[in-house]
Amino acid sequence: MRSSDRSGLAVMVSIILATFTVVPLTRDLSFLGVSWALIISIGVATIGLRRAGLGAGAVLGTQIGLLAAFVAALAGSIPGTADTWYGHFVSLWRSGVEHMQTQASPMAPDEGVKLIFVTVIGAIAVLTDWLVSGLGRPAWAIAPPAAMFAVPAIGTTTDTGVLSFACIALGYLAILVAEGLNSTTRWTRGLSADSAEGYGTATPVVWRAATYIGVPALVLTAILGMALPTLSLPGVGFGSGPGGNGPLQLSDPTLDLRRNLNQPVDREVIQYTTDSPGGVYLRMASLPQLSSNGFGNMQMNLDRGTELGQIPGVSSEPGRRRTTNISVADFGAEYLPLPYAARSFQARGEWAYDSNSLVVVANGRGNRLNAIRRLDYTVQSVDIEPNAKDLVTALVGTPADAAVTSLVPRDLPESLVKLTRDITDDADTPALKAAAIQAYLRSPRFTYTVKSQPGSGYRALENFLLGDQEGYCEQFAGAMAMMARVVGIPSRVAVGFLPGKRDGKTWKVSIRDMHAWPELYFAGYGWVRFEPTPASVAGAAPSYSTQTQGDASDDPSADPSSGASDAAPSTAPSVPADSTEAPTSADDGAAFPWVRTLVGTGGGLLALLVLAAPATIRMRRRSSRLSDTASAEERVESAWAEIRDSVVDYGGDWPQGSPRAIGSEIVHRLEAEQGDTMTQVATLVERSRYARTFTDTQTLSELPGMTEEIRRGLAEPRSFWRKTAAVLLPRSLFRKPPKV
Amino acid sequence: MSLSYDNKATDAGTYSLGDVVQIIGKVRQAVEVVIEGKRSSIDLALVTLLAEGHLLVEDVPGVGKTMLAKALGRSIACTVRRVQFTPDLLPSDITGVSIFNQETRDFEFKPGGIFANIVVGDEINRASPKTQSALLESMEERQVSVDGTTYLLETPFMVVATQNPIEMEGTYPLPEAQRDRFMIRIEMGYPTPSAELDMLDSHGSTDPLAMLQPVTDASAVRGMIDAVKTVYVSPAVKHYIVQIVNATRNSRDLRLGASPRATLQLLRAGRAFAALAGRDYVSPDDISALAVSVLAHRVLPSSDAQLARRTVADIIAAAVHSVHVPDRR
Repeated sequence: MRSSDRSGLAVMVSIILATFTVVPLTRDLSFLGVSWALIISIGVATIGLRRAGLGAGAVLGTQIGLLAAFVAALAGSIPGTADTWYGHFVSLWRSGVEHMQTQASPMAPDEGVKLIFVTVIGAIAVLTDWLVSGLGRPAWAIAPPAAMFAVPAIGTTTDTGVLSFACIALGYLAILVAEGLNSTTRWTRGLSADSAEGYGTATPVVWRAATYIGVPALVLTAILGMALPTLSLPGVGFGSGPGGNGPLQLSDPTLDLRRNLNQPVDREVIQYTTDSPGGVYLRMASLPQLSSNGFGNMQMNLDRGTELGQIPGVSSEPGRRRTTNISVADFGAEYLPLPYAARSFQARGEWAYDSNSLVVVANGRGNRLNAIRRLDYTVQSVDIEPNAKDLVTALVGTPADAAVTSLVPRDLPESLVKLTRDITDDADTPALKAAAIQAYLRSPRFTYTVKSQPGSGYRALENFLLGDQEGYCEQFAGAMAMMARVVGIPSRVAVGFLPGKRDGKTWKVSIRDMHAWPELYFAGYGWVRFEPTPASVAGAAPSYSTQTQGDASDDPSADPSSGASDAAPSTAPSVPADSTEAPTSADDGAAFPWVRTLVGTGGGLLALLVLAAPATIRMRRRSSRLSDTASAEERVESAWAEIRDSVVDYGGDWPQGSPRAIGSEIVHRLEAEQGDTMTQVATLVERSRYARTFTDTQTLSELPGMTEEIRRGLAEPRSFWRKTAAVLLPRSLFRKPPKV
Repeated sequence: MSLSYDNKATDAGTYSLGDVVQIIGKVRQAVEVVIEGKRSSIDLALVTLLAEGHLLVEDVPGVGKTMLAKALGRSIACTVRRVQFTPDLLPSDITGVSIFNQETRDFEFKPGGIFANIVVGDEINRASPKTQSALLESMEERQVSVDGTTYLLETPFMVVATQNPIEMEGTYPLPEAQRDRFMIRIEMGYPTPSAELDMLDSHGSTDPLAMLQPVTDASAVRGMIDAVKTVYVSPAVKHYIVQIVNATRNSRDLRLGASPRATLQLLRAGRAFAALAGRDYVSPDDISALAVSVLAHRVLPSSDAQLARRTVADIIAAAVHSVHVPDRR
């Protein structure tokens, strides 16, 4: 087998193994077969071309061409509506990206995602082959598959799995071993058979070298694997996987809801006491912006202070203020959970509020995600409980942010608009239309389940309203808010907690009480809460929200008659409810600086880990070289190799020639004392290589110290930056192995 | 009948490599009194002595070729003979001749100039080829056959031949086959100005050669030769030697590469060189340091290389450089 065949095969094996790492991301595994076919066809073509003696550029060009042709063929095989082939391709790609952004892993099958996966895998195969054979830097081949590994490691909260690490590590080892065997071949080539005896068995050295890199890499990968899934990076696209064990927190209201609802253990996160008889909804965030991705954040205008401004849209503030004492357990977020409408609050730390939504967010320095963790605070609020009779006749108002909260996107699917019209046809006033929508959603035709797909994008809403009719609070709230807009009522989705379970005077809220609900705006009443989520979860709907057409004329008291909303009248929801979440993507970083903070922190941490990898490998290699387990000759050779790598690390060249010649060359770069040590080591190497017997236990025991001394001597005259670079990015790791 | 000239062959005990370093150090010191500033040439001469080879000293007249040979002979208490080669020198002047003794009424062998431990053959290229070959045959065989009788030559036996460069007038250049008999060829070269100044002081009024006292004797040299044979040559270094010699054979710049005899002599010289440095093993450095001296006089440059004015020494050095130094046992 030629050496280029070996490298090519190793790259194929490595990338095929690496494809398994993205398996946790999707339920559709058909991409595996396709990408393997791509990898193999590229690999076979590469081997053939290298055998034919083509240059690296020609090979790379062919590989890229092959990749492009394959991807184009794959895209062509997927049905689509676009006129042009590139339009088709772009639309597939876009839908894939959107799919990834709106779905939690494992994702439902999607052709666009498949196309993206296959393209990326093919590109990684080409890149890896280029690193290994084109550039002759097999040690770098870890980078592309590791990048592939990082995606599920960061994106999913499920266990990325020891198997994934093993796949990457095994593939990398394959490349290293192939390269090692190639070097062995180079060494023995050209020697006659008898004289080559004793030289051709360099394979153990190869294995050892592979171990030097492979083991630390494996360990590091394991550490990475443990550390990374706890980071939730909003905007990466792969949001909350089901049932993680990560810290309880709300970092991004659009992503964390479902994850928290799926917590395997229902932990208590908030306790409060209140003089409100039915408990209070604790509201954290508000999502006013509707787009194809669902409801999302928009930029907030923050004011500082603990006295919140006027309640939006409320003409006469109710006189009665309720006081609620809240204490948060181990739950992190930068939003302060408050009853609506809060008037003032007393909490330690720096806070700011948004006058449109009355959302209070942390405004201090440091990790804002911990702003509410173990926080005790008090809040004064008023209840927005319109009189049902008055509300029926209320007009639709125009909130300050009407441009956002009244907007019906032009690309809203017609089917949704039509459904809304059908439901609300019979209702005359805005409040009745809202009640009809709520009643429709609370009817038994909808099933509550947290296992469904997340999001409130068009696709998710269509699936929820017209498809399987399964969803959780995010879909219920999103659907109602969307439909309210269609009929002209400004709406938004609030994210927070259900009132929880009463225990004496205290209310206890658990993580599964997380909830999303719609708020609709009526003139004179401001933002009014509705509850489209079924009673089994969210309890009864507010009394003002359940009128029917008949009620409007006769009896304005709450009586659910249209739709199948449960009849339990306004009792406090006392069952700890599995709640649901609000969909959408965070669309404005400025509104949520913590997103940037988190991305920055996560990115920084990742960069640190990546930066630390070469140093770790290098240090591990050094310590294993200087350990005293091997035979005397091996120890001397290891020390010599260590000195060689140190010289290279600190920017020097390793001279050619015999140990003595090299030693006398290196001595010139050292101070006198270290120079003597270098001479000693060179003599030791010479003796171990060429003398009859070699047993100098005295000097051997000092060898690690001598090696260290020489290394220090090499480092001394170098600049600070050079020293840092030598530690963080040791050149010796990225050097071509010396030809022997 | 076997006759060893002045035979005192019994050795006084064995010598270690430490003794070698010590004794040779003294010899070197003694020779250096006479030949100043030529440490490397002296060392190569001593290497030749310990490796049982013969030395060819080649340079222009007057740079101390003969002086080196004589100083070496003087500092060792052994027999030294000097033969001045001239065009009319006969082979029997070298080997010896049987003369009829009137008294004993028998033929009696009169040993020639070759019967000595150290034979200084001065200006060897001035003698006729016939005489040259008489010398060279005894060098290789270490014995002399006259009238059907073989006479062994005593160990140590070393011929130090000097010759002027072949371009000089009135010379018969040694054929390649005969140059191959010499283990090492050295070129004296001119002394450095300071060494030359010292020489004026020392040689101006006195004759340091005459004052030179022997620091060792023939039996010690025999012991040292045996000690040198114990120096270890690892398989890797042997392989290195073979590769270097092969490189001269494959070099495009050489019309004739080095012979297997050269391989053997490179190995022996390497042992002696290592012993001189106090080591009991040969390192690749020893071999590469000796390669030019041992190989250069045995090879012939190609006409291209001659036209390009490349010296043989450069070509050999390049050949050595092309061979990878062994980095494992």
